[in-house]
Amino acid sequence: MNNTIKNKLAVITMAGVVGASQAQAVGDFEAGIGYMERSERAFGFIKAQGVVYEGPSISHKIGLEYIGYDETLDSALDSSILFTTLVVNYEVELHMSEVLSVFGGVGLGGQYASLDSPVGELDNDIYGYAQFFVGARARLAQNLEFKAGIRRMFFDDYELLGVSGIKQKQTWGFDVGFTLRF
Amino acid sequence: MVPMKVLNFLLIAVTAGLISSCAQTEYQDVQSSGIQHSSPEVISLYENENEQLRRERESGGLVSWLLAGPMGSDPGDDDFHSRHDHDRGSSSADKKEFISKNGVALREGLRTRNNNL
Repeated sequence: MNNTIKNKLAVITMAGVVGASQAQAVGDFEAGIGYMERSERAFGFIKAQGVVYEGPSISHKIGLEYIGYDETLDSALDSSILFTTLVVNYEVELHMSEVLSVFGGVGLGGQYASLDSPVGELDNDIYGYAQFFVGARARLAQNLEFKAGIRRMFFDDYELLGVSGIKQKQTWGFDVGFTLRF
Repeated sequence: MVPMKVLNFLLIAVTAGLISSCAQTEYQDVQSSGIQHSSPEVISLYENENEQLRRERESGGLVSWLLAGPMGSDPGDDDFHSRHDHDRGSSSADKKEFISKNGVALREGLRTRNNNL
């Protein structure tokens, strides 16, 4: 085999490896902030997802998301309730073009409510959480995207200091953030 | 361009190698049982060497540090635990006092949250 054919084969192989590694995303990290319209509170989120199936223009992902926020209970006593949420999400993403994709999914998990005070945690409770969400991602750089979404958030009742049936009514959440694909 | 899976494998392999290189290496006591006929000074030299090897084992390596340090025990542990229990009791007492003083207001705040929703 002469050098010309060898060189061409080498170039084709390298191009195939580069193209394949870029097309087959393994997953992504996402982080951002959001706003809950009912309680008028901001929240932060961090998400890690893995691609479980990838078609020509569609990706199925499973991921774990952390959502955190707090609410003041009594400002005179400097006490507040800290909410820590962990939820497992299933997402379907449609790649509309090279720079734009839309997604939708559902999540199921739990929330940890902690009554915080100047002397530390006074009480806590763990209960269920669920959500569904839709949104869009726009490419900013090769592996970096801007993301905007809407989610509907559902909470179970919780209990603190013997007061049971404390409700967080379901609410819309609007969020923006950045997605790093790998 | 190296595929991500290969890079991940290499990263894991290098990390595992670094951690295993910090693991304790076996050592054997220098044989002293077969030299009972030797003078006490010679026997003590071997015993000192064993003691030195034992100290080196205990002081070296990441795993040794983890075992001997935060997770290890030392003669002062009993004192530490008794002090720790005392501190934990004090913190719990502060919380109970806070709740007894302000529990009514806190519970009222929790009930008000429900009513306002």
